[in-house]
Amino acid sequence: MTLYSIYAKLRRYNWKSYISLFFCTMLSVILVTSYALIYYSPTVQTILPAGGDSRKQAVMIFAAAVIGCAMFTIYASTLFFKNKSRETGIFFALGADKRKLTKMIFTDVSVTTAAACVTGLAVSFPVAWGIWNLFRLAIVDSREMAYRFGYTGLLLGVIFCAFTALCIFLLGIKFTARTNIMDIINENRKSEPVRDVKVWYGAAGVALMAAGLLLGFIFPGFLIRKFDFYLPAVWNGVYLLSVAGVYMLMVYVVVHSRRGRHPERYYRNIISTSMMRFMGKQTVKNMCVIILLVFGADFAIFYTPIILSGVEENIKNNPYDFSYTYEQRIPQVDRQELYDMAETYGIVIKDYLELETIDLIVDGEEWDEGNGTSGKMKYNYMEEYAYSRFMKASDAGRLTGGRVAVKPGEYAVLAAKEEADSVYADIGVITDPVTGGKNTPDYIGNVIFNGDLAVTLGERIYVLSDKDYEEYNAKLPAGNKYRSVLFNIDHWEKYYGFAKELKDEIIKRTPVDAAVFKGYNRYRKKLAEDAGEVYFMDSGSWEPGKGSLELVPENSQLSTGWRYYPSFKPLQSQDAIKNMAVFLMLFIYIGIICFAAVGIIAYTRGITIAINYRQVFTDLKRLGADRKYVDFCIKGQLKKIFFYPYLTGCGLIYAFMFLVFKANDSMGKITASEKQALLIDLGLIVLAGVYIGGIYALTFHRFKKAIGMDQEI
Amino acid sequence: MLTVNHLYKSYQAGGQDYPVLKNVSFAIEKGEIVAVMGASGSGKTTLLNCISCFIPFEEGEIMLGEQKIKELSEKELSQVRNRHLGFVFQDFMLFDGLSVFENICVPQIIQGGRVAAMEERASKLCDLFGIGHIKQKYPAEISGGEKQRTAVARALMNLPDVILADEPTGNLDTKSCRAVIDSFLKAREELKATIFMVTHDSFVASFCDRVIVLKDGQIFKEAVKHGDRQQFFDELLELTKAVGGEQDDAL
Repeated sequence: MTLYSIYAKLRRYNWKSYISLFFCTMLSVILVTSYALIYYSPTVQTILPAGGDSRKQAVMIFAAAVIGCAMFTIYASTLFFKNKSRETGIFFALGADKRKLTKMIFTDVSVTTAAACVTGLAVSFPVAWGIWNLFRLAIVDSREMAYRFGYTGLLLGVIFCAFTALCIFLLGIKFTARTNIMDIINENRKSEPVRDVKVWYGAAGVALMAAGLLLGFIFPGFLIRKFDFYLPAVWNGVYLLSVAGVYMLMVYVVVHSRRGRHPERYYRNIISTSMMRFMGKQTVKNMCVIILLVFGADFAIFYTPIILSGVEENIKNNPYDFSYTYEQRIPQVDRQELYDMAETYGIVIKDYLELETIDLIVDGEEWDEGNGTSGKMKYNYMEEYAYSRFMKASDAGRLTGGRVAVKPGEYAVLAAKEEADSVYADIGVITDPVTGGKNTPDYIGNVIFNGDLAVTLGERIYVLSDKDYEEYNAKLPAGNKYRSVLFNIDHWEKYYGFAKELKDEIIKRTPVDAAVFKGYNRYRKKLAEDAGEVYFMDSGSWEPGKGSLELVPENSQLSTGWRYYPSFKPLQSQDAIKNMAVFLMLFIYIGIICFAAVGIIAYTRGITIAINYRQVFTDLKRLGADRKYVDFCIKGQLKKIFFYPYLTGCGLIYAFMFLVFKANDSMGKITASEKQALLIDLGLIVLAGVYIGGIYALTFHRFKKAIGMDQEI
Repeated sequence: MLTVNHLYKSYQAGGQDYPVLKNVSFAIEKGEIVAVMGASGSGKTTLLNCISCFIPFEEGEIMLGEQKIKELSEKELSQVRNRHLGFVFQDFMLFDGLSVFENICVPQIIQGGRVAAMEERASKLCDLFGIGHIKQKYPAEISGGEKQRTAVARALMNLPDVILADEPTGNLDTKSCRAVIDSFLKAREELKATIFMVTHDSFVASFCDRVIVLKDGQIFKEAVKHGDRQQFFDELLELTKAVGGEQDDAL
């Protein structure tokens, strides 16, 4: 017998601690690396626009998931060292050489962590590939969904492994550096009590949570709108109020109890409350991590309903089944070709409408927030700011089916009903691109049109009198003129093939220089080039015809970014998921990661309570507590770990989404599609709640097993 | 054998200093069995932990033979714990994953002793304390008394200068308690062991040669056994009441 051999025997005896550390570390590495492999694959990177909101959101939620996974691994290793403390303390007490023992502990931890990391990294590949292909099988299979491996994801996985190993290593140093042997021996029995808090503490927590959200999200926008005053980047720190509020609320949930008006309830809960109070610090920390992860998970899974309900609402409100717009210089599918194509499908085209629009220069303001320092917004008014599109009043009448009266020297705005309240007079000067002549028209109101004519192009369309319009139009070159084609057919939902063929033909006939993103403005380009700069939408991943704007019919990403992507109801209805496939997969996967971590953290915390308080439950049984009461005490604790953080996390994200929808509209209106998305989100919260409930039930079962009360008392 | 001079130890809590041991001095001769008694919070376990080199102390001196333990390096302290001290804890502190026999061997294993000699000595100790029949069993399979006798055997494995015992009978029933006391007496008789124990039990203390009574971190009185055990026990009961020990201490 040697020290190594008895240490090895003890290792075999305590194999569950090692397996637990191995499993938790490996799981974290798998979750983080497989996501990174997907996110940083060239496939996804090509599709996500650089600097776009989706990319930012994906990275933000991923960061939350990484923090969650890292904390979860740290928690698992803390448990490992806690379990190891008694054994180590006895060795020290019996005079074992500290260096020798430290070496053995570090060897164990290093081997376990290294094995977990290597296994995690290796398993991440099939997991990433499997999830990707499962997604392809179950939801969508498009050209863009062909998985391509990227080294950046693997590198991030390796960095996460190194970070995890470093954290475990530092915890190991802290563990072995202690000199108080009694502390080491008693580590496992050490309680981390939190003192009781006053009755207002929970309410103050809720108030802080709300204050953080409102001050962080609503207040800066309010200042900009009302006072043209912007706050410095450091103002985002007010979100920490919400974090503090979450902590206070969870402390309140865990430790507060008072006799109050229902003393019988107070005494009935006294066992579970006091147990939780004695492990308060760690429990509250875990609950806060769960809230963070639930917030991230919900944010991710809410992405799908937002997209889909928007599409559905759009289809419902649009009076035209088909519409497409193109630059007049391009020999696009003309009326005859369209009718011929429709005939081959046995389709009768109805309500055919051809409209012209033109680009004129309008005034506007460039604005500058400075570099993160607060102060008044700096506006740079420019009389010749950008191109905007104009149509004539008679065409607007044909489009909307009514009479549109705009006199010379006036203008109206083509706006959807939902946004009409927030449209305002934003043009002061119109400049003729050819002559440079200027006019200052008066705003007279809005022309309501719920179709995709303006929305597709991502810009507003203005209505001029026929006289004014024709005067501009007569001198303009073809490059400033557009044609829009709109029509209806019977039972559009049956003609996906026709819609696809027409869309493919439109794409084929478009030259590369028209393969530009929404918001591309040729006058802004001219201004940039006159200043000796490259227009930002001509460079990098914005470059026309490149990346997700490659002009090939199979490129489903054109639908989300291309300025001239046609608005065909059959395509919108059937391709919505396909076109958003990569986005959806990323967000759903982040949701899976976060919820997996939530389940494991809550489960582990529950079982830790069971192990630490096994004796208390035995004593309760000896004192005559029946099975019902023991169950009540267990549930009293598990409910707090599972449901309070879940509901808090969901409440926070729901409030956040509500604020986002409010902020989307300058009048604070919530659109019908947003209302629908909020309803679906509620459904998803319930669905995820069922998952949490399942883990709760499993933990309850295992809890009883751990305290030896799984049999009938 | 063991000398404690002007020992001072305090704990910090909430930025304040709370002295636990104040100017404690005494000496123990080889072969003596000495107990420390006192009310809860009087500092008896802290005193034992300081002597065990488990926790540091601020002032004073603890000498084991000619060695001043405060001056020792961490490595030397480990060697002192392993070769010169033996420990018996209230809750046994056995390795659950090792058999009784292996548990007893651990101090020798740490020292790196010869296997044959180690096994022979462990077997002898098992026989001496009446645990030979359970030596292949694991702690979970034996009684509290057997666990504590295993712990006593383990403490004697390296023939230490002093055995330090913290409430060695605290978790035991009367029968097991008596068995442990017998183990100590046997250890002194046959192995010339010196034993220093902390106890709140006047009955257990009455088997000792001398009892040091602590009150508020200071030595309140030292009682020496002159006559028979019953007489000493009565004297200790009176002492316990005088220092305000708990009701059960006096029972």
